[in-house]
Amino acid sequence: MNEQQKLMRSIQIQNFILQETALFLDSHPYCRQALRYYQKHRRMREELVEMYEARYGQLTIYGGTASGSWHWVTEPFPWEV
Amino acid sequence: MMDTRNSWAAPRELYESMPPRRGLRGMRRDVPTGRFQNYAVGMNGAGITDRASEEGGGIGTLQYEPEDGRVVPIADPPAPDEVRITGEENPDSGACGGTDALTGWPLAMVYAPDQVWRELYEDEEALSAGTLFRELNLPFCPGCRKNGR
Repeated sequence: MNEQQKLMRSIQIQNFILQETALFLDSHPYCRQALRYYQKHRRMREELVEMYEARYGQLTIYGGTASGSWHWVTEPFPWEV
Repeated sequence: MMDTRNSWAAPRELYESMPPRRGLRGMRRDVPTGRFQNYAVGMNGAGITDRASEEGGGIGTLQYEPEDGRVVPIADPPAPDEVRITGEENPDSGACGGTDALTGWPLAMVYAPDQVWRELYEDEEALSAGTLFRELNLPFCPGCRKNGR
């Protein structure tokens, strides 16, 4: 697994954790522990996505900088990594 | 007068050991009906209520009350000797179901305990396990012991 794949994997892990926590919060919307956990992992995901897009290009059409060229099509798609 | 419909419920020692509780009179004592009712009301605004015998001692009738005002009785389960299983004339009768203690109850009535925020997996483990919660990691393994082994 190269660095890019490792970073992608880390993002996928955070996505999954946020999804699971969101499901819990759907039925426990005032659980402070879960809310703190969600915020912590949301920040972690943001940092990882920022790092990924700075190095390897857009992860979604909403991410990264679009100056110079449209990286979404000039770089490999995330699912091709 | 003893209502013989009690005799179908199992295990007998369980419901006989439970003291009668106010509000549950007439309900089958092997089923946590209080929670059942609460969940039903909380989930969809409709209710499942116990139309218990006013004289006491008898078994009440469950009825489902959807929001549209209808009252739908839920049939009492029959006693074991009243249960007629379709196909029971076949020699493999019973192998196709209908022999457990809840035979006769409406199908697909379920309960969902309130989950607690606890026993989380570490990040990487969570993705591998397919859940963030250790207590929800329940591999489907009929006949196996806990933890899938």
